Amino acid sequence: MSGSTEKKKTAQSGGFEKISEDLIRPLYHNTFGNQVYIRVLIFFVIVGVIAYGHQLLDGLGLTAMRDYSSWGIYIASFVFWVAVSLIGSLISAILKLLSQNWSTPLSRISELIALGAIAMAAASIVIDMGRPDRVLNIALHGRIQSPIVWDFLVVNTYLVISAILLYLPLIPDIAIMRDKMTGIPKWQKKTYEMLALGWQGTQEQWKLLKRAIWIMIILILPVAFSIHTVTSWLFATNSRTGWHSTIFGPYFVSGAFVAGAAAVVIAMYVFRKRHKLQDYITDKQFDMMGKLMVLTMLIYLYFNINEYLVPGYRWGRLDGAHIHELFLGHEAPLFWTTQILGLILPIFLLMFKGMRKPLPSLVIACFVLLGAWVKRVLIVIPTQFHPQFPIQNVPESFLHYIPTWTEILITLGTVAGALLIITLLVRIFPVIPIWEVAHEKGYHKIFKAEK
Amino acid sequence: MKKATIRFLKQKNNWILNLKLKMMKANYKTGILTIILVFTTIAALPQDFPEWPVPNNEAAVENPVEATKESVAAGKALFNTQCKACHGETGKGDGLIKSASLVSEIFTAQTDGAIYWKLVTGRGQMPPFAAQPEEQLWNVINYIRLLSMNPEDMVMKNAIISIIFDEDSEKKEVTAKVEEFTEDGTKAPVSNVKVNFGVKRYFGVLPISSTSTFTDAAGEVSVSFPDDIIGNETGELVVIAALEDMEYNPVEASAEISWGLDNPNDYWTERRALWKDNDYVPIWLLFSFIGGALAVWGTIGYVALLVFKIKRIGDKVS
Repeated sequence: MSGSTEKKKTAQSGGFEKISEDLIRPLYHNTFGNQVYIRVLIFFVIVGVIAYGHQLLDGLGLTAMRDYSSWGIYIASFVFWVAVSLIGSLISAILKLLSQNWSTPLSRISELIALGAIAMAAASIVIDMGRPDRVLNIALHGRIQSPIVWDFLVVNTYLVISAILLYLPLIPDIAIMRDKMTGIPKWQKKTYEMLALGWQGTQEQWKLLKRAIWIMIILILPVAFSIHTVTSWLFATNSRTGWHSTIFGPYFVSGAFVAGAAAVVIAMYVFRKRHKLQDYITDKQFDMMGKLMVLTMLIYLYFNINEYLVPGYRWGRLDGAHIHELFLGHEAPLFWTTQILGLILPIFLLMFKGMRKPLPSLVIACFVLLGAWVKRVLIVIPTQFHPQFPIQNVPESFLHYIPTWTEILITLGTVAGALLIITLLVRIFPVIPIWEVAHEKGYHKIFKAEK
Repeated sequence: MKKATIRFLKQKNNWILNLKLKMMKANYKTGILTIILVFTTIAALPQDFPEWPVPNNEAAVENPVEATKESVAAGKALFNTQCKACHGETGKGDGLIKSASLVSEIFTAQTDGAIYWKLVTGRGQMPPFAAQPEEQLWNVINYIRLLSMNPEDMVMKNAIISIIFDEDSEKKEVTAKVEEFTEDGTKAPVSNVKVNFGVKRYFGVLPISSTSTFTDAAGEVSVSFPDDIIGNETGELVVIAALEDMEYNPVEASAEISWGLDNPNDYWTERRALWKDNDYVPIWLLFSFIGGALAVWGTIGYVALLVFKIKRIGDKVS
């Protein structure tokens, strides 16, 4: 009897050793390709910073934003980043609360994406400001009645919550790395020691950590929903055609899950390839993510139909002009390409099992994510050319919006910035939660502490 | 133009020239730096306008309008509507566009006749004002002359002002009485000073008097109160009488009277609403905003406490 317990224990600890080795191994390898990749990202971030410095000195006149289109791709990007960041709550919170165990290996990927995206959402807002030095005035003198003030609060809150929710499940993993990793630079060792908080895996520590994680998982839900709902209210509380819609909140939230799920599929594919994690991110995960995407996209399609059918049926003076512009007018090619390639076709394709394999999933997810960005441009910009008063006697440049190089370079800089945050974090932290996966596979002895 | 700039430099920026000379003696490198400094200062100075020659016979024309208080008051009124936008409130040329200073030495050295000719003729962005009545233009010149006076050279006296409402008569009339204290401590009326009447509004004062409201020998001046001014819910409003004179420090009196029309909407200003400023936030919004923020950040604080406890246990164990 005692012999069999002994054997079981060895098998258990052996399995755990293998998991932790597999997941820590990528941290030792800084491949040439990865180094080049990081430098390319840094290059784009620097180009973006230089372009921003230029914009700071010469003012927003460098952008294509004018009196009518006073919001451009910065705000579209802001909405996009907020949308992508919501995935952290979907996978780490909703799927966890629903006991969807297949999503456990994806929780850290989604939290990393959430953190990188929400940081760039906050940056996009500041980039859009003509006087960023006055950003604190929102906190000091803002009117509580203004959705901008609510947005300022929830974006910052979500940033903090995302960072905490990324960090809490990392603590035991950091302790594992602190104890197991050898031959690493001193600063890295020190970082682990500091961040592990003296984690020893005692029963008491587990109890406290589990409670903290549990609280954060529940707390992130209302905050995640409010951040994207408030972002939609920045538009919906206007009396503008194309924005003053009562379903803008759920419309944005459902669209956010589509964009975030696509981002996770892309990240899954990349990390699986680069970190050789085929044993952990299996075809099952791609299959389930594909199904999840179909679900979120169907919900989003439903809101899309509502969003366009009702004003299209009513066909008021401005509603009609707006819908005509999107469906048949100037924006029609972009609109239909986005809707078909980024929404309708992916729904159809992902219904087939073969299309939910890793590579097809990746291709479809790329289209969905790109479509999500363009869709936000189509939500933000065309509306502004249908103001309540007719446009008369204005300079030619007021009549259209085509982003300038400054805007494009800065926006690319934010994309590189989000990728850089994620890339640098996975250089020192495992991209798959070690203890959670071990727990999933029934290996780790520490979970005896659990009730 | 160059001469004028240099003269300006000598007067106002004498220290720069002195510094330059001193430094040139001491070190030639800093000397070069100083020259650069001086030249950038010159470049940064407002550029004067090219000379504007006036025919001699025009310059010799004399101002037919005496600079009485009435003339200056009328001139100020016209200045504020026609000149202020470009030349600035104090005539320094700092209005909405770059314009000539009306208080510079070059300007004030001119005769009244020369200024008059320029007003009538116009040049560049300065339009000709030939359509204005001649007397009005002279009034403006009388007023502009005051702008370049040094306020410290003027000895200002103190006066007191009070408001009297004539409620008995059919016609609503506001009277202001201006008095000053004589040496023996008694009050004496102040005659021939201008009093501006107005009604207090949310933003500023709505004038209800013309330019010719000067006190009489009894120190009093009256205006009839317009019957179309809106007050608060019960028609109450605040009337203001302000003394404006070259010899007296500005002083004003205000008094409340219910001569206004009832404003049934006035309660909106006292009511909390979404469109108001932060002092009038609706209670429900204030509670949900602060309550929501406190709940979320309180929970985050509690989680931080748990993390702190984890660390304390870790420190104890190891």
